[in-house]
Amino acid sequence: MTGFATVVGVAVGGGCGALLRGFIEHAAAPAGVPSWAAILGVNLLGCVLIGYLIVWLEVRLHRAGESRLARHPRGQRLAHVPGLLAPDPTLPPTEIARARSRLRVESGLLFTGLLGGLTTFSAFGLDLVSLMQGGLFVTAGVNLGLSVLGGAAGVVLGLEVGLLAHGRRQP
Amino acid sequence: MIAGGGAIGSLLRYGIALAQIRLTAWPGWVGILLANLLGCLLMGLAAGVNPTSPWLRGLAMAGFCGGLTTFSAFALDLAFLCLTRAWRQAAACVGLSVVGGVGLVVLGLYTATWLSPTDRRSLYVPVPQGLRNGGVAQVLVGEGDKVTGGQWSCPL
Repeated sequence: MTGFATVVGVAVGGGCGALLRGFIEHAAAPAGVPSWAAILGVNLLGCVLIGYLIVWLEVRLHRAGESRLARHPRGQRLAHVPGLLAPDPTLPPTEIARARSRLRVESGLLFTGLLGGLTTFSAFGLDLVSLMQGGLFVTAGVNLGLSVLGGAAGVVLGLEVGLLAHGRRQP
Repeated sequence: MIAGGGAIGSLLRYGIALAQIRLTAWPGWVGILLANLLGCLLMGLAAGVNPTSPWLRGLAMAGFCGGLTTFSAFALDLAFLCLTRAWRQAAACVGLSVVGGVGLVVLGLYTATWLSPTDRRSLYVPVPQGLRNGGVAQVLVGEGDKVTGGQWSCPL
């Protein structure tokens, strides 16, 4: 059942994300925004959102102590959340299993589906190639640098905002 | 059409990432890298074939290829690799994604052009800004001094 719900979530989320990206792209063209800038904006938005949502989702649903946030240098600020960094001893195994399956379905819908469909790598690659074919090497370099560095920085920004919202300042 | 293509592409990416984690011992970002590279190759092929129908363009390019590839998961993996000081893996992830992605788009473009009949071959000319999604420009296309066509549909 979890597997089926996850598959449906990925498909629905992916459809909605791709549709949203299509609308943004079509709105950007008449406004004079070049296509690579529209794709860059959508990708950076997706990166900030995934950084925030991973904190939000794991704080709510991770009860088994296997959170990816444990690897974050400031992950200890989330030590007060039961079950995030170490398994929650107060919870019966059935509840842990339930939280795990909800985490699978919701991360399938939000991460793999919605944000995965919203952001794209293929249009970014095609824009890079088309900019280089047009001899606009500086623009291609700016696009590449902003995408890679901005994407990683966007994720870190989202993570930090999530840690501020859900974490506790360390004593 | 974009939504349908995006749903199918996202499912394929989910399958690739899941299969990679289950079947191989490589770190998790490799699955996303494979999905992105496959999507780049298909995007190059689609741009080279240059379908004129806006429905087909939405389904194949913005929908399927866009849904198959993702930037957010790539950036998330990259950020976690940097945060855990796995610099070598982070460099491999960025290098393989960018160089491989651009290379495969070019490979796809050339393969599609090579496969298509001579009279339908698209010409590689700089894409004027704002001329995307099948916009049509008036240009002179020809060999030597023989003009064979006057209309050019933007392949990108």
